[in-house]
Amino acid sequence: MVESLVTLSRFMRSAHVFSLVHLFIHICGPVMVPAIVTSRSAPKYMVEHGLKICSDVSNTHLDPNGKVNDDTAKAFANELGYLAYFVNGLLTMPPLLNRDLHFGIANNAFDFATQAILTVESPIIPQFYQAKLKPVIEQFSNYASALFTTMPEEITVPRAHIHPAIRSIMVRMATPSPPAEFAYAAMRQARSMRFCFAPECPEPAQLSGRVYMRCSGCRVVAYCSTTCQKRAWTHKQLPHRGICKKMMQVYNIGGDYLHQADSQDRFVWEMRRAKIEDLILKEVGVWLCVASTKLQRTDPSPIADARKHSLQREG
Amino acid sequence: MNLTVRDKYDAEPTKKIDLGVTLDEAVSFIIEALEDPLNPRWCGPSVSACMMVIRHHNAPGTIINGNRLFGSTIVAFLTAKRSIATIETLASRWHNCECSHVAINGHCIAAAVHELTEMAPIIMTLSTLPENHQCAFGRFGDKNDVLRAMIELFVEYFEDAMRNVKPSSVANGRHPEIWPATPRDLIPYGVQPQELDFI
Repeated sequence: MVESLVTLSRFMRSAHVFSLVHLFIHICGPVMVPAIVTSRSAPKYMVEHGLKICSDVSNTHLDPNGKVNDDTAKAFANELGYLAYFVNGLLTMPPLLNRDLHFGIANNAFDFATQAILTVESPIIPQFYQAKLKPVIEQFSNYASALFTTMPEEITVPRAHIHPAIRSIMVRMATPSPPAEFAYAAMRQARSMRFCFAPECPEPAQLSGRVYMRCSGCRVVAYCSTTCQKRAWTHKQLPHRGICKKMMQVYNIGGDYLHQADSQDRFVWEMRRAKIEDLILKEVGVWLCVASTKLQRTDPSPIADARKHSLQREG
Repeated sequence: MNLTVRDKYDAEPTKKIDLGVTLDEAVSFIIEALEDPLNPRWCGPSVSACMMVIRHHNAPGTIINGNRLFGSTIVAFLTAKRSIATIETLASRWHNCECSHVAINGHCIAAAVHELTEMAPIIMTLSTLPENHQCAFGRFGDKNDVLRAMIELFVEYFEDAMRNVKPSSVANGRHPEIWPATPRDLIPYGVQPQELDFI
């Protein structure tokens, strides 16, 4: 079905239809994401179409003020917005699935993100649209920095030549944030991921489409079945038993603020008010980060085969 | 005494124009027309005329929840597996009404809908207003591109229906009265991951 939407978008010469993929990821994540990773046509289309709209707007006729006309700017803003929806969906995916998804095209995707930021910032775009596209720039910067940190071996751009907006996000990501902020980001990310948090989940690529249930203790991590929950509880390397109570303590105080993107300050304030120790917050954040980086397909991945094939071909 | 000068073509905002086709008839006609998404039964102008009737009632969410088959039909049409060539063929087929007179006359809703097909280009003009300029260039030059306009309208309707959907509600099937009730409603053909093209 991803191919169908991509084909229809190519026919329409607009990413409006393609932006529906984001809705499918949002609503049917565990079912859709492995299919998107395997098909790969979605990120390829995003890169191709994105580079095309950037080049189209750069080569368009300018008015006497040196700006593109309102219709062109509006069309560009809309198209970039549609692609940003998809990027937003990719940012909520587990890192290992993102690695699989971008295998072979990470460099092009990075170029596209950089090109999009450069085009929006160029003087030919009217100020109104530049202001309107600020959140989109932020999203593409996050996307590019995530690509650079998760797949550094594929990105050929030297670090010194990376766009300042992307570099600042990378610096921000590398700088340790205060424990409360760190816990907030990790818990929010964990709640947005609709994947089974049990290490070595035997379900092939979480394809069941079953109802995912949250741990009734911490209410942060989700499992695909009680068997997975039991296994995760006493797992050798990453037992949930050790962290569940601490996470519950944090969630009971600040859980309401995890639903809104702009409630970080309120969350931090509540943690201070309840005198939650920094050590606990840090522990929660680290546990969730480690757990989410382990989320991946457990069946023989076709991407892994492709990777092997590609390496063999390169000798 | 105050007088407000109104444009003579500017209709009363609250006044509903009687198009001769009811909302239910328009919805059921589209469901019937797109029953086979790869080979629609009725022509593009008639489907666009029905969309004109549906658009006239500004409540996409209510319409989709009122007739769950409508949402499923739209998704099935948008996600059906097609090649660019098939889409081009459908676009050229949908450009004009090629429905047989016998079929139209033997179908009471179709007859009423086909009375409206002359007005279908109005929709096309509306959908190519400056706010939609990003895709305003029809594939047939100066002609109205019925398929493109229809897809745009379907996508808008789909987005409207999805706006307030909560993933957990869909996953749990908590609200069977709201469309989509389950993930299966959204993925009628399954996810069908295809082979990697770079192997």
